[in-house]
Amino acid sequence: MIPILITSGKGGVGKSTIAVNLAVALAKHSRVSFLDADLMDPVAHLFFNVNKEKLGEYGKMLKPLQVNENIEFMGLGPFVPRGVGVALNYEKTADFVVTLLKFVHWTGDYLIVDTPPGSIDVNVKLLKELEGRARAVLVGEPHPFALEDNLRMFDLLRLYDVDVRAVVLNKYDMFVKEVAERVAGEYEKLGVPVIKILFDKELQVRVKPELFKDVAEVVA
Amino acid sequence: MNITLKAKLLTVLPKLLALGMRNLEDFLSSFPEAKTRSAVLTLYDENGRMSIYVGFEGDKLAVREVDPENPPYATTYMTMHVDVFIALLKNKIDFRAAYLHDLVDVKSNDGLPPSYHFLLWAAFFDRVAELLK
Repeated sequence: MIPILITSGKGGVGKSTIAVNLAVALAKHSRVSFLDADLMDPVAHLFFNVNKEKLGEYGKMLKPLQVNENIEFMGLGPFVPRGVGVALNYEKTADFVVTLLKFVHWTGDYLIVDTPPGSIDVNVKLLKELEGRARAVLVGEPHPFALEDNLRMFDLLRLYDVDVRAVVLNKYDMFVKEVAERVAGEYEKLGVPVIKILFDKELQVRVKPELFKDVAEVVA
Repeated sequence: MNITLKAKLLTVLPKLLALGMRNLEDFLSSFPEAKTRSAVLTLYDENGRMSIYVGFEGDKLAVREVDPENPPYATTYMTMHVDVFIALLKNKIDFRAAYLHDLVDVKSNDGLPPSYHFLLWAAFFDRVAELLK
């Protein structure tokens, strides 16, 4: 199983949207496991319409929730009551990361990991647990603030030997053209493919995996 | 013996009796994982602590008070303030919310992460809450 991190130095850039659409795109030809590692603000289960159900075990492993024939899901989202703030200390957070990563009976060819934003301790824990086996898609928007945060994130990914397969610049046409082009140029210096995704409001209501075909190709 | 703590538990005696009058073996049979798990539940207040062991001994369910200073082996040790326990039984708080708000501590003794046990215990408490409605 190949772990693929969908990650960003900045929040609100569309990681979960991209992670879900990428999972659906990959699931056309493969089995996909999906881990929502954004423990504090999980939303990916909403895209998949995963309902809370009684959690089962397979030996000493948790059984992931089945989204459809080719996608399985696990994360805190379906199990946390709506509106309840998640006040986990680092010890508990790190413990959840280990449970979700290593004590779930994942069966996918790919494990898409929707990470929380930022080069924060949860992500460092994730990167350590993955022991350099992961690929990553770095998600940003084409503006200077996201660029600054993502340069730090890129450094962190490289530090833990993650194979960064692409930078995705989301909602590319929503930003001032000159700024977007300058920022894209900065990303191109990192030496990984830069994929521009145009704003599509339909993504708020349905998945459109065809928009993420290029991303699927570079991570697979 | 912690008298104040037990007095507080008396306020939920009808709930505990209602739970006890159910066929617990049948109830637990819907949780196959319960057969391989055991717990020491420790409740505390400002005056002290008390602990209850819950687990299967062979095929029989065992529930008994144990020494909180010297608890028997159990796969999990769960600790919470008695008011939290009472709120759980009265459906005033959700077990998951209590854990995520750091009101419940779960320790693991069998090598599995505490959060693994938490996720399974959460399903168990859901069922308990349903029974007590």
